Amino acid sequence: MKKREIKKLLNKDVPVEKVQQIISDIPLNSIKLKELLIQIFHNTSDLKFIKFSNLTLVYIDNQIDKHELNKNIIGKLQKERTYTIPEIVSNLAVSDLEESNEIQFVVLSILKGSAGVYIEGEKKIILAKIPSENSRSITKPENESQVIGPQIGFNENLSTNVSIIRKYIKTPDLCNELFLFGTRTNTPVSLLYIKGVASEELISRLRKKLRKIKIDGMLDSAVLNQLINDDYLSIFPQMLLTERPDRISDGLLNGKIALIVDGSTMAILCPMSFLEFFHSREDYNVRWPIATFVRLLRIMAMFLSVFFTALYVAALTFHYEIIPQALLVPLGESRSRVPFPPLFEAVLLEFIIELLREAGARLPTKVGQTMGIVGGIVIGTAAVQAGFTSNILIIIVALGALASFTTPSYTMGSLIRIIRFPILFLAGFWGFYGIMFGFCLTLIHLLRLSTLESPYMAPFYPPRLKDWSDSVVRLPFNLTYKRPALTRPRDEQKYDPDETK
Amino acid sequence: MKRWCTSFFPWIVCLILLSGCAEKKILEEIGLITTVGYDLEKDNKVKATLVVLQINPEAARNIDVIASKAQTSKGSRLDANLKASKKLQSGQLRVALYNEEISKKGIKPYADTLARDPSISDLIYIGVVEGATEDLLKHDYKNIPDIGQHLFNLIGQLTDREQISNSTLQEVRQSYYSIGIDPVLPLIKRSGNSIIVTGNAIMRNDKMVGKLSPDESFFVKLIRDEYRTGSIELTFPVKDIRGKKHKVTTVIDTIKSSKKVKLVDKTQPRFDIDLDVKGRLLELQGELDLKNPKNIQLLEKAIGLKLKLEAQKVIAYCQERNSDVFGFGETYRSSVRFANLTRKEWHQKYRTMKYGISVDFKLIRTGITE
Repeated sequence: MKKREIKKLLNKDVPVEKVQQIISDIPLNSIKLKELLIQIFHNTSDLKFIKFSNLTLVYIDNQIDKHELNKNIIGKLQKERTYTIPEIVSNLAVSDLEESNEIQFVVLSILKGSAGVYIEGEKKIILAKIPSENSRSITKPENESQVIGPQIGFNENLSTNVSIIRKYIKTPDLCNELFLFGTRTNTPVSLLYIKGVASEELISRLRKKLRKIKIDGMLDSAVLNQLINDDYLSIFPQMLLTERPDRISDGLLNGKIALIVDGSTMAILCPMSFLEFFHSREDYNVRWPIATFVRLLRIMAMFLSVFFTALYVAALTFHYEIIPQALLVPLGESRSRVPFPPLFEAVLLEFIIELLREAGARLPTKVGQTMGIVGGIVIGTAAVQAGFTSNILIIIVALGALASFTTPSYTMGSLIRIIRFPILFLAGFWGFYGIMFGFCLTLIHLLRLSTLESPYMAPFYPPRLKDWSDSVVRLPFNLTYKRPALTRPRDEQKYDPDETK
Repeated sequence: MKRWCTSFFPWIVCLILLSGCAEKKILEEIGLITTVGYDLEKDNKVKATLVVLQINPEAARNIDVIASKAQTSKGSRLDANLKASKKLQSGQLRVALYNEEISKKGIKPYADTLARDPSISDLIYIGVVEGATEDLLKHDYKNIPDIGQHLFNLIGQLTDREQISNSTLQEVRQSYYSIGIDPVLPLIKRSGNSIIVTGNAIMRNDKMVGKLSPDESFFVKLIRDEYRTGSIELTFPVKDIRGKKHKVTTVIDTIKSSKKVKLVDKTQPRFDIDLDVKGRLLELQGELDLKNPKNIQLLEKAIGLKLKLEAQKVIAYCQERNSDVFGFGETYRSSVRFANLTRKEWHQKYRTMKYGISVDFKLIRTGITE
């Protein structure tokens, strides 16, 4: 009867609770166990059983470390004698041993790389964790490079990633809560925060959001990020995706919460205000005037990237009055050969730049380099000579593209490049009024956005004057001793400002 | 999703439906009027001369000068459009010039129509031309490729150097509309193949009534507002400590001045003018031993005296022409309660106004005098 039920269960989607209810017991006999497991795994070829004396070893061939299996499990057991559970536990040279009487847990563990040891007639299976290590070594972060600062990035292994964080923050207060996502992928996700710093309310908000997720597969943290965003329709990222452990550690110390997904090189940091996407960890590694300059540069670059081409189009289409006298002749001369209206010209060029960028991202690295040269020549010289675009616009568009890459967060950078298109069209249709309209619309949207139900535009809206010292500018450390109010930290002060100069 | 649709849908519809409404003025498809000059013709018509910037890489010259006749200035633009290949637009207007006849008749109607056009900046320069503006603008200058740009730069640099008073449309209209101060405009003349600024035209309300040379204009600005970096050349006699008389010529620059004008008598207007002038001695022609600090003191006194005498001359001339370019009326108006001053009343009072003037001059630097 049980068999039939299990069979039914495996063919159909049944809620997890019911599965637990039905298959919680382990059959008392190794043959039955084998049959059951074969059925659960649909007779997969890499499920292996080894039988000797009163023991049955079960594992998935590719998931475990063969060498460890031979040396520390099979090598430690003698074939001539029979064993009991405590004997096995004391004999096996594996550090991570578990006992379970739930078949579901056993199945999951085997999938993750455990070898199960079953003793004839027992109701329990001993699980020895010997997963094969097939993750890549830790390398430099590819997409977020820094000049001054640690050159270490996350890799795809959850335990490695957590251990890197633990290396930065050696305190028992660093809490690690494990969640499992994906009914089919069973992806472990770590929720990290520092107890006593992070706000309990924010943590419980995030936990609530995480518990609501019902999804069959979770392959990357970028997916999880989108699932737990406050406004899923917004174009703006509300949580930071970063591959830098130092960035995550810095966030944790400021009372933020991190999520690390197994199999993903990016960790999620939340809550993040809009302005924090323009911060880099490096800002704290260099002296404050330099950091302030770079931050202002990034903010300026953002505005430049979004509005510069639009301003060009609007000025040339509607507002010739505002063009400075010295620019009239060069602008007019470069435009007079172009057969298209300014809007079309600008959209064309922006489109070509986006094509180049996308091609550069998709092409294999070896081809990618030549792509830049070809693109540069094609756009830079040939397009102007053919009279397709004016060379002043090329400068403007290239500047805008360049400026968008100064944003430390790649997601924010690509957003900036996308958002300029609607602004461009508004400028082409309505001139400066259109640009202002687009700007206001964006601003209203930004003001309404929240990140983990905290205000997205903090510290400007709501105004938190104390946090301004570490926002657009970065003032010296003795002025930034408080944690930002955005995270509502339980411990508000980072250090004593009088002793830190 | 529904909320999103309902809030954005109307905007998107508006964008698509209304986008055809804005009038496009694409830069290379319009003729940009950069300078305009008005002459009064005999039949009481106005002749407008427009300098039009038409950008064409193939053409030898980018500018085109078009003359047209009409009753009004805007009418002349319509007439000029008949002679241009591109739609003429005045948003890039930088300089507006009037000849003496128009200026004597009154420039208000012409200045007003410029100010009323929202596309025209309030910061364009206004000037008076000795002779015909058409002649000035149409002349084929050897070394001036773009007459419009040349005029704008000429007046601009002189204004920045504080050699002439600020004559932007905004400034002129402000001094025209406030009772008790009259506008000053630069006087421009063509002389052979060059354009020169010959001084200032002084106005009574909006009518030109007299001319001042550049040196005389210095004193108008000195009393009218303040100097921050002015300069002037003065020739005057000075007695050194030995009692020897010298005739010296000095050039003083980076002049900083502040003024205090006080009304001391309300019934028969009488003003006390206190001028505090500081400057750097740039050049000194003549025999005077500057190593002796007492000589410097004497020199300062002599310069102060010279400034005072010159200022008196200029005020007398302006009083004679009945043009209050110094803004005494403003002081009067702000000192007398319920004055209810009208232009006419003030100009009557101004003619017989009395004043006392005192100049305190200080040399801040004399340079190395080895």
